[in-house]
Amino acid sequence: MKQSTRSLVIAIVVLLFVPVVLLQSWIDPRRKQFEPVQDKMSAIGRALPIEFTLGAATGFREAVAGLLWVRTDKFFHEGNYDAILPMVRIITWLDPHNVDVYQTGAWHLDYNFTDQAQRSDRRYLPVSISLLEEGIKNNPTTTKLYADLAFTHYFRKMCNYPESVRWYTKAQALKEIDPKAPISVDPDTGLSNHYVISKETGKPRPLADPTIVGHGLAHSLAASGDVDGAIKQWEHCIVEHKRLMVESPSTKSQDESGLHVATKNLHEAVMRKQFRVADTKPPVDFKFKGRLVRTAPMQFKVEGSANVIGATEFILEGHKVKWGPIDGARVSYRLEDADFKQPTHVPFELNVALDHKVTIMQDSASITKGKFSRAVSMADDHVGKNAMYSFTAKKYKFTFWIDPCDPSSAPPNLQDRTGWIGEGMTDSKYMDLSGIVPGSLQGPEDKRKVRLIKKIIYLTRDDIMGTGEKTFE
Amino acid sequence: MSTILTLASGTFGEAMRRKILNVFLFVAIAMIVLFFAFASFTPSSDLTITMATGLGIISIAGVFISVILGINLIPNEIDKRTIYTILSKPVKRHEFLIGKFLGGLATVFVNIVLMGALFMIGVIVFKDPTHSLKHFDILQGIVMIFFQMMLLNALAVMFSVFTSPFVNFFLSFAVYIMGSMSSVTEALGEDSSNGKRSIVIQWIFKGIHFLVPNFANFNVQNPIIHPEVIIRDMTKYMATNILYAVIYSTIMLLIAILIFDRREV
Repeated sequence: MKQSTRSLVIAIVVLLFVPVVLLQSWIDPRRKQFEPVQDKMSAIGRALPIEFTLGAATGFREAVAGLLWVRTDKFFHEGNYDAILPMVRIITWLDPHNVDVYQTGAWHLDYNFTDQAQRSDRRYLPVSISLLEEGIKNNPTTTKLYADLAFTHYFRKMCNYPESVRWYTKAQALKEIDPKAPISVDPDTGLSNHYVISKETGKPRPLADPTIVGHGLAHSLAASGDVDGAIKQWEHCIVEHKRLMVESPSTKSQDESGLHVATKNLHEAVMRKQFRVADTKPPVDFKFKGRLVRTAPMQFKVEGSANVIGATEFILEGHKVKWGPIDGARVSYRLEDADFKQPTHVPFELNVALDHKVTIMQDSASITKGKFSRAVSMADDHVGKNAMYSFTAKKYKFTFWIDPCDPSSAPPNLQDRTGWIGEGMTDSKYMDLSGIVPGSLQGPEDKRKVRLIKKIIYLTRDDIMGTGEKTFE
Repeated sequence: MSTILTLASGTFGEAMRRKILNVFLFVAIAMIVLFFAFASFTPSSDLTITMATGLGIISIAGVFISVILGINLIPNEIDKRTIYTILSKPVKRHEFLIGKFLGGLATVFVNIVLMGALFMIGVIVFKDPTHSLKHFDILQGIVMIFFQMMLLNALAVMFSVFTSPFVNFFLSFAVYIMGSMSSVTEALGEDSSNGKRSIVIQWIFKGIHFLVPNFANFNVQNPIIHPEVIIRDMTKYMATNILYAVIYSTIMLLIAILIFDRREV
């Protein structure tokens, strides 16, 4: 090669680096869409064997995450629940779009850490909520996680219905948008809307499943006392089901079934709204009695009575109703450290920062023929590294309560008499108008003015650990 | 041009006769096992893991095929002294080098196509009977793997003109790993440490980020594995990366030509 040709080739090589740098500058910000989380690599490196870390660092993140998920499944079947949490943490760091892992991880935190009597370890709930909120931040257009957070945590576990409404509403508000729409930033998630741009051009349309999200929102609205909101939501669901029956033939049977349910629930909600105004007056005095009998150290009998009046017969059409004592209502109870404050946010880290000194026990008992009685033993879960009931505090608070909004505690035939938020319910001794449901996370201001029956008994550590039978009232 | 094509064709034929197809066989077996291995998961999880692992296997196999082919293309000819015969004919050194590279690239292409086709058929038949996946998306992932391997092959060929295959093997892998950590080099090149990182260090990392081939650019598996993830300008992103791979590979080959031209063989 001549020297002049050689010089020319060198010049071309140097010049070609200019487009390389320009192209790389264009690629860099867009590459983040494909590799969402990279700032956790050092933590991953400390937690994983070198071959996994190397694989994750060299572009095989999803494959490594998949293999770790297989390993996690094995841990689950072996019953090694503690090993699952770090795996879920690493997998969601490696592949923050794996929605299944967030869902399964949150379910695991909610339900699989239990005492001998299968009562959930509620210290994990804020961690689980953090995991789902993180999942939502990383997958803002996937309605599944919003629905899980709204249903599992607020509607079922926390009984914080306004929060449930908030998350369902967010899910329902998700829409595919025109790809040509200008980029904006969602103030809640801090993410730009390029994540929600549809691959298909055309009109904006909802992403939410009207059965899972739509019906869930209607139930949450009713549970939070917003019956007008619930009625509007059932109407919205009917419109959505009808639209999807035309637009989406593959889910037609599901939407037909959803339409049937929504129509029935709308009909019932409209009538109940009309009847409950009069039916809830005058309020029923529940004459609640609750006591705690210590039978042995850390073993109690929770017992009491309540005048639970509801509809023994009710034909909505024509408003034919017969009131009387009913079964099926439940009284909830919770033992916790007297100074315990429910944390609103516990980050889901590689090692979950659980306060093992905190004691929380929560359960419920069925009220049958006006009485309830249930044995509670915490003795088997007192010792050990991960003991649920360490009883290290000096003072404890034991709370009984009846939540008129909770569908699992107050069935519809009870609510027909007690009302949407307990307006037809009173108690000469234990009526509570604070609106605070024990164990609930602090959500937005609770405007529904829910009326609870709530009785609190304070105990000392000696009361719990003492021997011999003793009654606390 | 015909000289280059003749050399490429000869290189391709020779490479395909080597044990390289055994890699394909291994990958094929691994994938068949893979399709049945995750049956205990939920269908969506099962498909996610299969897709992630399958594309990962193709990618890893592609890396090994590209590096092993690339590091041996030139040294083999020198060791066997066949290069003397070739260069004694009216074949210019740059034609020889480009022909060898194209032959190697064709081998990589055929292997990735075979692995990709097997993977797509497997996914469609065993894992996606309802055809909920967008198969074109899988193809996009496989195309990007090929261009990533093209860049890696060019890099290995460039190193092969002045290092031994043994050194080249580790050198190519080292650059591949560094280039796969684009986000890390990019972050280190930015002033995100509140002035704790010196400006010189920042510029060194910035230089590494822009001058070392960025293999991470081609990792587009995430939205393919999770179809609900919506990506803006996917086609433009892919086209830009393909252009990047072509230009960078050209740079590698030109450097190789410059060095090889002065090398005594």
